[in-house]
Amino acid sequence: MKGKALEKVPRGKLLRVEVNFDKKITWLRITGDFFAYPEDSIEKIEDMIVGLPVDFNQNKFAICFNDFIKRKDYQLIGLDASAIIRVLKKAMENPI
Amino acid sequence: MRWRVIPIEVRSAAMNMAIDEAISKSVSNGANPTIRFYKWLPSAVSIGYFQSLNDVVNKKYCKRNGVNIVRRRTGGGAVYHSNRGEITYSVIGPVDMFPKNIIESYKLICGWVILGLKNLDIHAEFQPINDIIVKGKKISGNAQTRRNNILLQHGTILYDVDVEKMFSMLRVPDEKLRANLIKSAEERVTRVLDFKQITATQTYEALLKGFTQDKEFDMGSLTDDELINAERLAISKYGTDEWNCMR
Repeated sequence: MKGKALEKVPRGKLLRVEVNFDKKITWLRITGDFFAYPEDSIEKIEDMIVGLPVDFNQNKFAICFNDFIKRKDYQLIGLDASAIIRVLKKAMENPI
Repeated sequence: MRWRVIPIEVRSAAMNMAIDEAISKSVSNGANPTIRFYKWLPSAVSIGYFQSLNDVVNKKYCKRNGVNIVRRRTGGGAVYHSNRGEITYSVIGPVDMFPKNIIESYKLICGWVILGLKNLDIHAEFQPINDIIVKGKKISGNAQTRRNNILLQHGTILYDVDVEKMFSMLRVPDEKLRANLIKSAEERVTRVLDFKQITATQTYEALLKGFTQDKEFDMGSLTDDELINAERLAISKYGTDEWNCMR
């Protein structure tokens, strides 16, 4: 299945998530008018999310996700881990 | 540190982005930090590094109207660069010349735009994350990347924007909202001509003065190596679907 969702992150930028999934997330694309440093951090985040079961625990994953961002010293401006998770979940709730 | 300042020039979209990258490379090899000003011919839409071209640009409309499309190395949103309606700048220097904090570095460089506008008696202010506003309306958008210890920030100063035309180039999330978005953009965006009846050249001269104030600088030009590298990048990267459609 495929899903797509977008959100104007509160006090942030426009965030779109496009996702392919069955029982697991098989492909993911995060796009929008945000900033991320270094730029390849978004690809690394996409890679990290691919493989997650579709019913992953949002709160538990948010802790891992934030830890990953902190450990890698990524700077996300105009979006954050919880916004990505929220839009990802929304995309999977509305399969195309 | 002595700056090189490259006076305003007119280039294609691919070449403008290629020149920014070529200068970034030469600065990382020890060339002086550089400020350049430029315009776009033909007019163009640039999209942010993380944007999906298909999601944000009306490709058919752009093609029909001879408008170039290019992906930037910087994040941020899609921008319509009207040949006559705006002036673009780039600032390229080693990252240690600028605040480590990203918003602070935006604030510093946007401050030079603000100084330039002040020379026209236009009182602008920085609005985080990356905008410059006058009386609550956006007059300048800015975007920054840091790669290989080089900071590149480029931005546009709106001189005579046509919001309706701008939105014709861009796709909006919900077509039913297009009219509202145009109306709302007209309410949120402003331009130099709203405040002062001057030419684009006079606007550029005021910006140049703002950017160079209190700096040691030489007026310069691209080196042969930079130009050759830029021409190569314009063809092999910025002019390709592989780059422009990568997201």
